[in-house]
Amino acid sequence: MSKIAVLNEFSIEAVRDALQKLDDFKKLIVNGLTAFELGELEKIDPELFAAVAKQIKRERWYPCTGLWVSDDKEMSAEKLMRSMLYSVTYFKEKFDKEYKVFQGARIYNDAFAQLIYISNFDACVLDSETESYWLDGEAYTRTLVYGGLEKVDINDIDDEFIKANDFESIEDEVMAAFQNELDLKSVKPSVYAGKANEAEMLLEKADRICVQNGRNENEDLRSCWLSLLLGEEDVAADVAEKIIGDGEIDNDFIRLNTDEVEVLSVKYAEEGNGDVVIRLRETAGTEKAITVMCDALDAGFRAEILPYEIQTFRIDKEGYVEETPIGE
Amino acid sequence: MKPYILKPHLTRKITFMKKDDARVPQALFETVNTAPDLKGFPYPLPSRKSEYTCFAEGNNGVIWYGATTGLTRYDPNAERAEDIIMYFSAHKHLDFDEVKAILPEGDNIWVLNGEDSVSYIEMIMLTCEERGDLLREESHKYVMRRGMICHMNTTEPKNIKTALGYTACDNDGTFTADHFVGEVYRYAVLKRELGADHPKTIEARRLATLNSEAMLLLTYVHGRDEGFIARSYHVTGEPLPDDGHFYQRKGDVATCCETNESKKTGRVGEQVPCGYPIPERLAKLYRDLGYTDDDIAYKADTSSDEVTNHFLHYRLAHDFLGEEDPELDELIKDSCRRTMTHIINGKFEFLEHSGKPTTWAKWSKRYFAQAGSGYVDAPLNAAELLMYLKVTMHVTGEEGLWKETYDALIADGYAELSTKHFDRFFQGAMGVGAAPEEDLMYGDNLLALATFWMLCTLEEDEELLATYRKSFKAWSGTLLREVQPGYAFPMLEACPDLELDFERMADWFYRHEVTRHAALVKLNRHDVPIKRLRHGVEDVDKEISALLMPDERSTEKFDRNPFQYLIRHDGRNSHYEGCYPYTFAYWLGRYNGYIAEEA
Repeated sequence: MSKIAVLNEFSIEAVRDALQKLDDFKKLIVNGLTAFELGELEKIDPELFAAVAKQIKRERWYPCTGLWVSDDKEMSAEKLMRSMLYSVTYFKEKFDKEYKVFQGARIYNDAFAQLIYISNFDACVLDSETESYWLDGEAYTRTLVYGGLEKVDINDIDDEFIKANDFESIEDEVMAAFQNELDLKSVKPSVYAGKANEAEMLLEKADRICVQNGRNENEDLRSCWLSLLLGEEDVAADVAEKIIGDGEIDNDFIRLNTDEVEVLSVKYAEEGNGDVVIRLRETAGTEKAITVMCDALDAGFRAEILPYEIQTFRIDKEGYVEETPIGE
Repeated sequence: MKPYILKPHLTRKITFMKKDDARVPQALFETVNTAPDLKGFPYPLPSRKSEYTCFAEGNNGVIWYGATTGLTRYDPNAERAEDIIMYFSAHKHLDFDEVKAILPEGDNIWVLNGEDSVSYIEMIMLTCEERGDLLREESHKYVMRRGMICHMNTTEPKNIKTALGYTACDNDGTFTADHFVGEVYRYAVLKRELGADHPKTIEARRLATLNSEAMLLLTYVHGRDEGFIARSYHVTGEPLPDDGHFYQRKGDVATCCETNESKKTGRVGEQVPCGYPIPERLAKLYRDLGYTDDDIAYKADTSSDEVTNHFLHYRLAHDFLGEEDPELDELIKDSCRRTMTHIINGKFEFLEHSGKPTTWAKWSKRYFAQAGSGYVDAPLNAAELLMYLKVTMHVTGEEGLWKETYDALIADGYAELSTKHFDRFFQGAMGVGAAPEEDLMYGDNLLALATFWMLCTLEEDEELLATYRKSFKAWSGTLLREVQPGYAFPMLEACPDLELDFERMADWFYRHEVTRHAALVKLNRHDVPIKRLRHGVEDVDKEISALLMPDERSTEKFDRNPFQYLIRHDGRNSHYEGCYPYTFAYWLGRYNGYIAEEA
């Protein structure tokens, strides 16, 4: 069985050591570094970052994909989605890569399987799970939780070990599993859905008020969310409050034909072209046909929503609507 | 349970004409267009507000809005939410999306569209039974050929009176079986409600029997002695499509015709015996039209779709027609035995005369062990084989080899394997980077339906029944998302604990048109999001996020995805489908007491 060589320590020395081993051993593959860590590396040591970037493009270095920054605490659906969104966007924009395996510490909330699925990840590897199984979510979604990887720390292994073993990326090993006969149990998550904290609620409000008022302050809002993901909640809250000013959410800005669907998020699309993203979640556990009206955006549309389903819609400047994965 | 009461409901009827047609009122050309003020309009509109160019008030507060992108009917007083906004577009309701002028006339409306096209849209009040009768009339008059029903093309677009009279169909057995379900349940309902001697009941029986005979003929028409089933057959004068393997009968030998497919497989000129006699009662379907056995070219390489639907037919024909027609019942039993024997002798694979298996009819562990399709197909195909055996025991009243084989398969894990559909299907989709609904062969929905419907209503062993119900529910995701009574009602019969939204089922019946004209409609609507699929190629593989009412989406068989984003093309203007999706659902629902007409 192939070994999975992982960079556990984020330091200049550890990265240099991993790169040196990649140069010395052509069969070696390294896994590690989140989007946040790569961004920091680029700021601290652009040359070293360039060397890692080259190996990522050559598919000899596979980053830690899924979350913007490693996190082992429960979190709300929206916070998890933002973390995935910024991670996915980073790898797409920086390396033109779309990875299919989410890597994290645990099942973060009870919508986890659905969120992984609608973010276009096919599977996940979680520190907390040692066995493989299907994790079922609402709305007929599921994801493969893959356990049993034989991980070794790239900084701990010596030349003899490298010569004696084959190496594989987490991405490729997990995706290859889909070609095997899998006979796995299926499990529904039972963890509590993390609630949004005060800073997060302020950010969501700031996003909505920007859209209501036609102010596209994506860059500030994005840095706020990134601060929040790093645990710098006071920083995030301060900036959010400045953006909000004395603005209030207009509950008629988006009108639904039912009380059993909640608006999770209203924001401008990441690419900054003025498209607006609306995220909804069914809350009563029943399938329904919904209508969504937003006169200010010249939009009104219908959709089918399944029990507890989360759906994301993107409205263009003419009011035409596309249902999108969350990577928007 | 108490039946859901269906009421008479408005139904669209479209007449296409040119503007110089004498029927078109002059007033249509004299209207003055004023763009409506739609600020604050309370519902999603199919066209962008700025695209509406005219409006006019019809009866009972209905307002019609014409746009450069179609026609909208707004009924603020509609009882049902789905009826508040209705949309009409090319090519199903208009020749062109651009509405130039409108003229309401009572409940109906004249619509000038494009340069010189006029649509007269009638909104007629019909019961669901009346709607079904009009659909059946169209199918029987123009789509059916020698008792088989699939689809039909016309020489003139949108004019079914120019139906060709012949067609190419890969699955005549499948679609005729589904049509037969509607007909035979109609017969059963009429017999129960009007009595066996009522002229309507007698006629219903005749039509169901005709479909049944056509089905049975496919099991004999090849003249092979080994219990084969033909996909379809053509008679002299009907062009053979360049698709698949056709064998032309002459005397006691049938010869493989030249097609691209038969050239590829090296079967051109292959000779196969065809001396097994065709029962006279069945051969009459073509002999009475002046054809002989030598006029027959039959299609081989039969799939499990066909076989499964033949067993569905065996069971229902035996149950509803057999007792009163012993001659037909004997043919059903003989055909059923021969087919089952062929499958057992072929080690659970359907064989061509050469002994090689057909491409898609395999229920063997040898096939299941194949990576890819064998692995993913195994749960459904395992259940299909069990269903065939269960139906054979039921129809023939025999056990013997059938029971021994059934028991052996259960012991070999076939029933348990049937429960693994969702796991393997999901895995298979992920393996190719697709979402399940994207990777599905939509015909498999119907196969699962027929298989588990029959298994769950025939199996008496509680443990096995629970297993089959569990297996059936593993298909819920792709079956129930269509909100299609033709799927939901058999599933309810098989799994009585299923909860269905009968209001949405009623919408599905109410919003069927009275034609199965298959022209496509405009789907890039302002009120319907478009969804890029997981694996889909951008701009090609997409779905719509809303399940449109049947009269606002393309007309399809059961084996298509109703959410699929289809790009319009003119070819579908000359295409008509059979009516079975409606009649299958309606008459099965009536028979089981799930729905009833208002007294």
